Amino acid sequence: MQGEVTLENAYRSHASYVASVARRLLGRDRDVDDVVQDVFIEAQAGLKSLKEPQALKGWLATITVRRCTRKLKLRKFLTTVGLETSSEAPDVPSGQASPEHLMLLGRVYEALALVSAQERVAWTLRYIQGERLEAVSELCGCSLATAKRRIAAAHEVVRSVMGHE
Amino acid sequence: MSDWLKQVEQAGAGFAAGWDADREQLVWKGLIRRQKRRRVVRRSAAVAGMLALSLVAWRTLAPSPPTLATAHPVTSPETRRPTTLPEPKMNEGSPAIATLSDGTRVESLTRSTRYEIREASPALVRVELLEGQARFDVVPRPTRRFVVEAAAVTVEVLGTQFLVSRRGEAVDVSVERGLVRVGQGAGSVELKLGEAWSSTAAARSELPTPDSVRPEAERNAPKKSPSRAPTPVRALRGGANVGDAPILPEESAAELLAQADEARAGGRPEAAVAPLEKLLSQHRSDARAPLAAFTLGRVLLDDLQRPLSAAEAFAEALSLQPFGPLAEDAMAREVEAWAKAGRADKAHQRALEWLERYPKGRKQAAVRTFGNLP
Repeated sequence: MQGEVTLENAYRSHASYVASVARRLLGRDRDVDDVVQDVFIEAQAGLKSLKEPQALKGWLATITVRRCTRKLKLRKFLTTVGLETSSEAPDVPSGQASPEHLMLLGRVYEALALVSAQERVAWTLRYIQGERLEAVSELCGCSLATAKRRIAAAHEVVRSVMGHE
Repeated sequence: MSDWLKQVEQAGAGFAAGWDADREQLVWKGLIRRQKRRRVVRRSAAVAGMLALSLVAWRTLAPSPPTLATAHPVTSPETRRPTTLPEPKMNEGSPAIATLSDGTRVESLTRSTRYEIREASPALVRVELLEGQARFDVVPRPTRRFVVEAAAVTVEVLGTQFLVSRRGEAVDVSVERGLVRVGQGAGSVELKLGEAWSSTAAARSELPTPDSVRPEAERNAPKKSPSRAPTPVRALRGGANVGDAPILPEESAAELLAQADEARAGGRPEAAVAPLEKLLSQHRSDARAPLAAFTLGRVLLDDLQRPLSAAEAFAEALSLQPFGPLAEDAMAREVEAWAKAGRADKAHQRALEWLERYPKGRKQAAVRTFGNLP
């Protein structure tokens, strides 16, 4: 990204990336637009003081993870009190994944709905987003040990629900 | 990394799509509008804050009458504890399914099904099945035990979905996902996916009996492969009479799906039809049923040129999971199948419904073509 780091510059360069991270974390499309807007509104305040423009993408990812974690916590609460459906079917565009992959992801997201938002986010970053453990801990704002613990806790549930060894 | 995890990563790559220039511009405009609204709200809040401050200052400085001080009532742990157990929430649209306070779903499978929640705490949920058959889809929580009691039998959940059927003192348990521990008296047996246990069959020694009734010497012997491994479901056929409980199927959903996959991979699509139809008939509530229906539709339409049956299969896939990940594709292919079956009217109608449901769907071109829409 060249030139001044304005809000619009940042948005045009990285909105697509933020949207894809949000989509994978949330598992569905309907909240993605809100999250993208939230992320860039929050980021705007810090853009002027951004020392390394090349760090922008990573910083936006961290904000995205934080926003999505908050949304997932709220979703879990609303589901518990019956104000939201517990359906976790991911609405992946059909042209991008085979039916078998869609079904697999559907079951994975149903399993992930059973764990805490933090555990879900860590596992999704690791196994669906494909991030390294160190990147997961940075994005989640926690230690490497905590990231590993969250991933392991979620993995136990996912494995149990999916019926895999 | 195991195969299924690799597949998850591959499938996750498909999430990167869905963001185009139009959407980017739409979201950008929304972002600008929100920024403007925030500025207006901030200014209004500042003004309101000033007014409130003035009001407080005025009230503080003006003389006020003396008030009686009141003490907060002391709450003991006993008064804080709920006096009644939380009632299960009945899911709308599915009167036979109730959701417990911990997220577990209980599906009553027969008219005579009755159950009561005996205990509900963060450490233990205990449900007694009084009569009939129920499916328990339990939220796995390492710090919480989930126990179903039926007559003298206890079923402890280790993270799973399972069926329990009771008629009088006769109890049957079968596992649809995960692992359960079935206890009777002091003994227990663990059941995995596809396995089942019956109290009456166990009493006739047709199935493994709990540890407590085995001879002491055998119990204390060094562990080795059990001479009688947990018997698969087949052992119950023609055996116990458990009233209104269904006859348990021979093959599990996973086995039937594997048979179909093997037939398709071996270039014998016609041999895939039977196991898929059997899965839909005997495991309709299994999580794999929508995929089985969708796969059946594909086999019938693409490999066997039976579009009418294919349309029914795709419609079934949609009905099994109306908002699932296959719904959009299933409905689109149903349109195609009706068109190829010569049912232009049906194809047109379903195409209109598809477009209403998925105005930005990715199969627009195909749906419009097969539905004879502009």
